[in-house]
Amino acid sequence: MSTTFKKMAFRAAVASGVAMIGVGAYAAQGSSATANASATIVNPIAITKTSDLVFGKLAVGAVGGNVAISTANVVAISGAGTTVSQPVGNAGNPAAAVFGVTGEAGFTYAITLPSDGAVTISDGASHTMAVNGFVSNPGTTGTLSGAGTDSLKVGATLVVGNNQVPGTYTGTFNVTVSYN
Amino acid sequence: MTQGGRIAVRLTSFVLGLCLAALEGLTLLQARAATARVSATILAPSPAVSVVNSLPPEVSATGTVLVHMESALTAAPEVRMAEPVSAAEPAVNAATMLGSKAGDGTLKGSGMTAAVTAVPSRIGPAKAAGTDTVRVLVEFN
Repeated sequence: MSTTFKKMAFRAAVASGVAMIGVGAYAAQGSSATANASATIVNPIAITKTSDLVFGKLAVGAVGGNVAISTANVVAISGAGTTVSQPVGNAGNPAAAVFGVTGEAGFTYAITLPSDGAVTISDGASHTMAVNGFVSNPGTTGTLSGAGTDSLKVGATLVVGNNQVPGTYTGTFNVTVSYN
Repeated sequence: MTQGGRIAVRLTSFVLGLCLAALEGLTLLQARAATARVSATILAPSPAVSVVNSLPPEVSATGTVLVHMESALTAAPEVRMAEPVSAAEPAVNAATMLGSKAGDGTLKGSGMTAAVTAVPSRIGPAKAAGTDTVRVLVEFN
């Protein structure tokens, strides 16, 4: 085979290859389809405290008890032989906590409340009381309105000890919400 | 635009789409929390009651008993004389003594003094000199 022929053969092969690539590219271009990529950024969920959880004023003697406040602001005192009482005319405005939740309209969200043993309140002088049995309305799942808002009420049960030392007890608790 | 350019644009769009979707997912999963305050006030167990004066020695007389109620409360809860009220001497009408619940009032830091008037419910022989006992119950209201 002569050198000239070899060069010609090589050029032909290269040209053929380029042509095939071109054909292939043409073929690929001809069968392509277009899809739209989209994403929707929703309003982030947010929660803000509207009012605090207040058990009010309580009197207690030798036997403690449990003081529950419902999400409807109803106080219930229980316990065997309890001497815990709440002055009717001077109850100290007991009330459930209220939170405002905002986010994407119509979305549902999960509610996480403190577990038992996680929250205590103190008088600042080493005397404490446990706050357990957190409840909420809505319960475990809430739904944001058409305006993207919801009201979340939280109640709990205060454990008053025997001969609980008089004083003002305070503490804090967290409520967490997240989209389902 | 060249073929390579188109491919590059599509690849870039694809990657951007993935990033946006990932951001959206992060937004959906992100939880938000808020903190509220919890409070309760424990009052003193009950108002303490002490008798300042006792009933007059003779039941046929009309007298006044001062009942002094004190509390260690720093606040000022209201208290009232609560029924039942009883007296050891049956000639004294206990209901009359506190029928008006005149003891309603507010405890201050030093307590409260309420007047309890005793009147005989019947006329009888003069009682021997002595001291009658009046039991007064108070409670928060």
